Amino acid sequence: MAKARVFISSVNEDGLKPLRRSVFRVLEGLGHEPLMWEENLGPWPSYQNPVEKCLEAVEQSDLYLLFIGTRGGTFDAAAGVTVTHSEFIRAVDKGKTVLVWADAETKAIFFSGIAWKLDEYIAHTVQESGSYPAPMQALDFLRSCQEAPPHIDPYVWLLLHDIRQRGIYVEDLARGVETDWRGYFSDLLRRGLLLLPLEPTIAENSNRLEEAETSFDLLAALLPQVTLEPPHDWKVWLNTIRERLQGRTIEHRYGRWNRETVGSYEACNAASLYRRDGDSMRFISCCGRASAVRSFALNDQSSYIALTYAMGPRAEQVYYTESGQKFFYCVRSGPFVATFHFPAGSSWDQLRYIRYKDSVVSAIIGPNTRLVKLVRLLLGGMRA
Amino acid sequence: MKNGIWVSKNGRVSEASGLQPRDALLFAPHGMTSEDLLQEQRSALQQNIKLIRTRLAEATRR
Repeated sequence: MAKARVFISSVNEDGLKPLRRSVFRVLEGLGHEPLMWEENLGPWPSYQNPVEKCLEAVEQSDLYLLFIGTRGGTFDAAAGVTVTHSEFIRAVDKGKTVLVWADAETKAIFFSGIAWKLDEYIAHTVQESGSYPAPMQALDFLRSCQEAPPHIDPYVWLLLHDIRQRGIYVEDLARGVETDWRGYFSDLLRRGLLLLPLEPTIAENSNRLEEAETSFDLLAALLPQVTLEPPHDWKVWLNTIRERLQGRTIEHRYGRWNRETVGSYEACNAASLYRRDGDSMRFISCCGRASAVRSFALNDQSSYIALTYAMGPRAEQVYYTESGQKFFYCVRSGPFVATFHFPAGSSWDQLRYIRYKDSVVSAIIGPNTRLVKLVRLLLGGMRA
Repeated sequence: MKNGIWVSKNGRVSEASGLQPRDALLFAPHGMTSEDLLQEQRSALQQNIKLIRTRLAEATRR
């Protein structure tokens, strides 16, 4: 019968050694298969890279335990992280269950001040230089940070910061207080037991999702082969699409893991459709709170409809006006330009838009990719 | 049209520099189209389904 493999990870520091040994014995006593460098992993022959072997062991484990004390560990300059941090990254990347404990004092110092200082420093660096600070730069900053006590290695703060950005909870490791490992692993078993009976449901959902994707593919392949009659009522047609475009939050990403909610937009409250007719874009229909302008000259640079048309046959663009407090998502398909109006949340102004323009575009386009593809295909197939 | 912020005001489009009139139309060409994003989403979806199936097979193996 397969046993649960548990990788025990930490920096090799004296304060953590008794704890590592104790956890190893408890896990062994419970019938699991703990993996730990000083017990059953190393040392390997000199021709084998110990870091790579440790990372392989992390991959082969079912559960990854990380203990953080006051030492940062061996910094691998080529990787830009410590060996322990590499193990943590590998565990997360491979989708392992990750449990983290940190020395209670270290954790309290981090969350009471250093976390926010580091956030500010990173946001400032990103704004100034357009890129995330290099690890050595961040370590220099942390060395000069007044909130950081000298007896704790600055790399510990970088590791905790990464853990926090990934949304992983850090448990307290209080010195002199025995952790109830048996209770902890019983709780893990309980959580697994809740999910295991759902296996058929999860598998079924995956199958249905694949079928839906296959159907969408078929539709996308067939629609360009047919000519469609225009709908009896374009207003109803537009409104059917508009109703499906929801409001959402807008998140800004800092690097790969860090993200921040920077605003929102409301559900689409209007839509319009124009079609090229000679030298102008002629009004076809609108719905919701859109006003009808009969036509725009193709060279009218004040019109988002004419501007989008001029960008090419498959152009799409998100526009913003501060006076109207709206985002306009324009999509061109052949001779048509469809526009969807999203009221911007109250926090938006020009400066905010300029700062977060890419996040705004991703937040509006990203959740609607399939819908927009379908709209394009339908418009593209309409009889002239 | 290169990346950056563009503005349509007084009937002309130009690269935006500094604050613009409140009724100006701002836009920023984006590196990713909805088609690019759709491909990314589909690729992620397939990987997720594969991971779920692998894990379910491991979890229910005796």
